[in-house]
Amino acid sequence: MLDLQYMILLSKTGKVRCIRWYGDYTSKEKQLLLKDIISLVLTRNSRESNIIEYDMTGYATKNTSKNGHRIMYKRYASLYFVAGIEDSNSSNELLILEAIHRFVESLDKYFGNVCELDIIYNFEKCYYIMLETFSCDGNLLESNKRKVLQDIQIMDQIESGEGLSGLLG
Amino acid sequence: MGSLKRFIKDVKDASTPKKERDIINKESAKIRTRLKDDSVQGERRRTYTSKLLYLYILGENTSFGQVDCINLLSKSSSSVSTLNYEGGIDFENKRLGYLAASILLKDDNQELLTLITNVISQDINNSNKYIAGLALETLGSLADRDLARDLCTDLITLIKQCVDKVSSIDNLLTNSSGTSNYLIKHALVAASSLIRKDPNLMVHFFSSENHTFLADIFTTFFNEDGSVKKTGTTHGLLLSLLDFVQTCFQYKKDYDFDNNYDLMIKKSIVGPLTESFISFLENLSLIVTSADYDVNGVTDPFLQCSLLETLREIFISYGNDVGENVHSKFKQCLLRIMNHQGLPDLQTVSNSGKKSSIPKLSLSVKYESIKTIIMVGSLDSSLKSLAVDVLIKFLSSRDPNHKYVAMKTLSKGIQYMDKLDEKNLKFILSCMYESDFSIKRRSLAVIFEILQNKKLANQEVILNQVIEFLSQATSSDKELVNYCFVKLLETKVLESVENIKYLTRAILYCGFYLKNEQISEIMTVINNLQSQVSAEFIKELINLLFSNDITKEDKIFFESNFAFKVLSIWCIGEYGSFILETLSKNNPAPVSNKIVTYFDKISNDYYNPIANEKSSYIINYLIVAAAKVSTYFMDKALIERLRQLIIFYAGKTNNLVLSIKANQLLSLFSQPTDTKRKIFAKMPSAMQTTDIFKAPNVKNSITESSNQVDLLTNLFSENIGMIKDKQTSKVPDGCVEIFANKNLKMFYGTSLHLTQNKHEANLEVYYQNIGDNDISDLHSFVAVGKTQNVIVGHLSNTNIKPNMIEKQQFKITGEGHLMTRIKIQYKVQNISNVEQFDYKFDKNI
Repeated sequence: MLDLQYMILLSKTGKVRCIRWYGDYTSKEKQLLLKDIISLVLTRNSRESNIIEYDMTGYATKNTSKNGHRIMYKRYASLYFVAGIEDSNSSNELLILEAIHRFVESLDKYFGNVCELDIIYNFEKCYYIMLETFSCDGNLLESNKRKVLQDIQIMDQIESGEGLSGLLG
Repeated sequence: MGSLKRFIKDVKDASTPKKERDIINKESAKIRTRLKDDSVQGERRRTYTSKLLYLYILGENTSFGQVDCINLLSKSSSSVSTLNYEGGIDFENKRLGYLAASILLKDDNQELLTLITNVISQDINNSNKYIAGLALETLGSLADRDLARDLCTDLITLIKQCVDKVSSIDNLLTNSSGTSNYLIKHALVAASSLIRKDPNLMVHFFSSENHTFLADIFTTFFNEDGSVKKTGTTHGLLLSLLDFVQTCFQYKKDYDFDNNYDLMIKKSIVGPLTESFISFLENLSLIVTSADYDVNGVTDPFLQCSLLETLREIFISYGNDVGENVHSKFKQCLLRIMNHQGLPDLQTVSNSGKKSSIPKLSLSVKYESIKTIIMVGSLDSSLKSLAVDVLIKFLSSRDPNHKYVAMKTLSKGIQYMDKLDEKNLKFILSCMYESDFSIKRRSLAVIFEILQNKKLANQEVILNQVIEFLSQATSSDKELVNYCFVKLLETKVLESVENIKYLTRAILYCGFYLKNEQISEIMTVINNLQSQVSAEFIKELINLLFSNDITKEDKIFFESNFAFKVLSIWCIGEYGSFILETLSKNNPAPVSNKIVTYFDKISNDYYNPIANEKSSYIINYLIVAAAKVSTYFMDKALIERLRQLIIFYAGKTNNLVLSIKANQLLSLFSQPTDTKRKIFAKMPSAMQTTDIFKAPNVKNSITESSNQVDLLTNLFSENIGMIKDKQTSKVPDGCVEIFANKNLKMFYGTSLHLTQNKHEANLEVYYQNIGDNDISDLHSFVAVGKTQNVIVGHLSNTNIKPNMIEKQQFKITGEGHLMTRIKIQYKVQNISNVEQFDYKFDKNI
């Protein structure tokens, strides 16, 4: 299980372009966490790993009992893709980085050479791809790349009224 | 009405933060009013909802519009005929509505949840699988305990229906298996979420009529040879099934419906699925399937890892319930994965940091199997050492991510190695110099792990490397340096004649990073060393301090090296006789001179002890050391200089603690040399552990007072030692026995410390364990006459070992006849005892 707690698309200027929380955090926690994530991710250099160990003990809540928070990120052109996990003992950081890459691949296929502007103006589409890629508990929902795109395209077609009963497989 | 694009563009192009804020505030107010307007429907409502989502991304408050995404969901299902689902509008509303709901309502919104319960329960059975999927996804992300309980059985019914449908129809109607695949996939994810909310719901999924449902799904859709049975089946289905299984494992501790958890899991998961999972994994890792699942030549690493993780849980918790042949099958499978997908030349591969990087190889499966091999206890050690060997190879990669995961896992796995060859050791040691902090810290953890395990590598080689690392440490490494010191002291590797020199060097290089508590800890360690080891340490230290040929660079080290200063002062005080008599070959004059000069210099540098904690810390040690070492000086003039130094601080009234200490030292200074030497003798080792070691750990604010305790124990070390001995075996002479039973005797001390005019009595109470077993959790309650008050002091220890004695104080104030009623509670062999008795004194207060 990936057990992602969030998926955040961040511009290199520190602006959030798309964000979804999977873990149960209070609004206050999300605020603090997001602030720290932005400053930590943006200040990493290329010789450092893509895995940031982050101490959440400063937060006085239920989540503090687990002290293995990790922030994982990958940079694609001007965008950072950031995902976080809570329990680091069973997690596979390399697999999470691959899952992030898979998500980016889907975006790239969908938009056709995706760039930051595509995501800024079509954040809903970005969310729809996220919905088919990651489940509501932050795990990978589908590992079949073709199927993910196919489902999204069919939904797009139904939305635009071109829905054909033959496509509703 | 401005379009969504317009709004996004305006925000993006705003020239100043203030303008951006204005645009957002204006739009946000507009959205608020428009969404409240029920006549706004269709596309306009969708646009406002999209804008609301955009506000969420910007981090704005969206609570005002949350009801309206529900509105979008429910309006459409009532106003549009369900037959009409293909005609875009309804689907558009649902798609956006569910997206907005699952994202915006994620924060605690219990009241709003009840509003969508109905829509969700209808939609999960919608004939459009995508609407059903969206409803299931929203259910999974929003459900609370109540909603989970309400819809749990609906989910089970849905899953069973889908499975039945697929197994009953023939292969011609293939479309329907694709739909079922999609629905079951989403339903299982939702089911996992419901179990997170209420683990007791597991009982429904594994009830007697449902217990085969997981196995049914697997056998209906998948073959054991790693392929799928029905067209339209995706690995996503199996991923969700494995997530469900793992969620059930995760929430075992919260399941308290009955005691049948293990029975349930064995019957529904372990029994029917373990072997199938192994076969599927084994075949998956070998075959090359379609490009749909490919990641750099590896077939679906996501599914492989999830299978491995699930199997790991099964073998850790239920290894004994799995047959011998399944065990060996699993072992074979792991062995094949380790040998298959041979490691490419890692040094040529790097996939981090570069823009638009594409991972060139997939090590995730290998990493997952290594973790599995290390974590499953029943796997044999040859497999484990093979796994660790492969893990170390990760370190040769240029990709820091590989190094990170390897180091993280190595600290657990290194114990399975019999020997580290030079090359591997080199890889591990080189990671100390990575630029990534986490890799550094974790490599140090592994290195100390190796250091403690003598068979792995030569201790001296590693110690040299650690010291080398410390010598290059910069201020950004402060935390790591502290970690090294803690570890070096904790592992006790330095406590030998050969290795103690590394401690001197470590202090020399990194003393300025150390905290006061750590300095005190080092004192404890030195004090408890065997005499020839500590002699070696002192020799090195004094050499460094007073040798004439120290280089300029080293001098700079001394100047800023606080720990070095404190420790050298302390050592001069404690080991004065050794330094002046043995080390200087009975020619103490030159060294004495240097010591006094050194002390004066320190005093000058830190003369204002109130200025900061550091100053008062070092001066405390300075004046004690001055007093102590003076007893070994011959030269009257030098002794006088030391006395002047103490006098200087005795007059410093702005630090009272220090001033009192200095005055006490001065009064002892005039004693004859013999007496002084006795009083100022080196501290006995056992004392240190109890007094210095613990005190600084409590809190910084106590440091000062603990220094005072330190002084007193210095002065009366011999006496206190005696009392301590007595305390543990014998009650002081003349105590009055006030109570006795088979376990416990109690005494009052003879002296009542009566202070008549104050109407106060201080009673010493002794508890003696006269039984054969430990007394634990001892508590006493004291009552006194109506006209009096009692303050019960701390019991020195609530647990008493046989024949031991513990102490407590009662302070009674007031007037009248002195009497006490005492109730004691304690446990012997975990059985509670309560006793109560009265004791009357023949005195008044």
